[in-house]
Amino acid sequence: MTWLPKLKKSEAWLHRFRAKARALEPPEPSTELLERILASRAAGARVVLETDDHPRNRSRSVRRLAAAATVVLVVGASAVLRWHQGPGNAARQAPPLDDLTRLMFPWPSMALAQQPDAPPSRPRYGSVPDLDGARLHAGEWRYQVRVKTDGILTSERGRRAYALAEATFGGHPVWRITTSWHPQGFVDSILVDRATLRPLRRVFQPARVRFIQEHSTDSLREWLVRRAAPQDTVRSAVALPNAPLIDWLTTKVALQALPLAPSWRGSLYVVSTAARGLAPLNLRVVGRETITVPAGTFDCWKIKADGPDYVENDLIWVSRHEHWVIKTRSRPAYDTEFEELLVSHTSQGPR
Amino acid sequence: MSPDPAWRSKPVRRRTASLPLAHLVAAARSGSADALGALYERYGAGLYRLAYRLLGNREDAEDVVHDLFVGLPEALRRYEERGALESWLKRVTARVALMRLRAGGRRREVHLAVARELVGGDSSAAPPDSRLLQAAVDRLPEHLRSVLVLKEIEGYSHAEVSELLGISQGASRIRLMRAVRRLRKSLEDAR
Repeated sequence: MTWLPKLKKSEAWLHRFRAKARALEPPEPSTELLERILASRAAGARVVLETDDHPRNRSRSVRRLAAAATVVLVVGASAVLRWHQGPGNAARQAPPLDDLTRLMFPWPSMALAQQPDAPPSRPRYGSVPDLDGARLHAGEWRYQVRVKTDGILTSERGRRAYALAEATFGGHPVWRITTSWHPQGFVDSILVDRATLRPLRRVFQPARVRFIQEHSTDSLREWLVRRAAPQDTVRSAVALPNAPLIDWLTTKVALQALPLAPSWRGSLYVVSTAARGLAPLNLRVVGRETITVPAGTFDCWKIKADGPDYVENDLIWVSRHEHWVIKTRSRPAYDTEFEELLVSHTSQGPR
Repeated sequence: MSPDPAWRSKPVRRRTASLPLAHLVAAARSGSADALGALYERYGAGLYRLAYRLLGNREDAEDVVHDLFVGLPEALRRYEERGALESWLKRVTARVALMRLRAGGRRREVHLAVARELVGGDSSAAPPDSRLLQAAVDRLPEHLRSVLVLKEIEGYSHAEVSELLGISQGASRIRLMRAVRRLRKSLEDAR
């Protein structure tokens, strides 16, 4: 019975721990929390709460569905590729455009895919009333992209850059934002209103197709042109609300125009092709950190972003003075982290 | 964004707060901001403490309580009033908090928060051993910490913990044992 004293000692320790831990007073919630809750309700925000579902069963179901969807995607994609690359292909008819659009990560586009399934979900925080377009400054920002697996293995995944330049469109001053991926060689170019950053026209040209989007005040029209068969051009359109919105690719630029401050939070609607419609992007300043990246050391706001399905607890470090994105970190899978680190820039900073 | 001005009316809320709980729940279900405010005043602080203990930082705990009360009127329509409302609210809060934990990206913040507090942050008024204890709890891995917080601090049974976390009761017991072992070692090392 040598274990008995040990057990008694352990129980006594646990008893003491319990008493001390229960006596620990966590901080009180901030005084304006109730105000924020009621403001969110009044603004129409709603949250669906898990009440009775067994969380593990639910996550298992989600995992099973995700696994099934992945299998279908992989099998479908390989079938299309085999069909497209197989012998005697020249004699065959070209694959339908729908198949090509499915292979265009991170597209298919919103209108080409189909109309949005449902109205956009409610933003978590108050909508950002005005983006301060005057804060923006021309320049180019280059990022190193890397993927970390299991917190240990790091692999480089090329470079990404975006450039912001003044331009005109239909006689009006606009910003041209060009995003490029290396070594893939994709270039995506978008024109946005100089003051509001609302998208006006976007052109994306991967290897075999040309994809164009044009926005008006209430709709988005799209063209997908297959270079080998321009006669197969697909046109489509989708209605958009006349509300402040930005394109997903403009997010890094939009951060330059936000009034960031300690505890600042706000939501923006983004035209999200992956979400097939508008989705709120919820942003919250969670702290301040000094970080070092290849481009140097920066005093940053640390921002947490979530909203569209594919943005969940992403972290963005934005320099406090210029509001440049210095680093981003997202977790597309449980054991995988995706990071972008600023390598260089040509901007002179805010005017 | 202008909030519904009704909630600013403190005398009205005071009257609402004195209503029997069943009436409050019924009013909150129908979307009354006053009733929601009264429920927050009754239970908000306790639910925030639970969320804070599970998540380890204020911002996330506030977000959990925010989401809970924003979704509460609709969720109350599924509340069957068979048990105490507070227990039901705690279970829902724990689920929301645990879902956030599973979403990842929490632990580093916890560590930073703890580090800040240890170097003289806003909980410096707490006695040193309390701060050490809090830091040691915060350093536990999430799967152990959740069991420890729910079982030993919040007072749930192993059956309830296993239901909340979706694990077996045996796993709950083992995790608690491991959590206690690590906690003791951590505290002994700190001495």
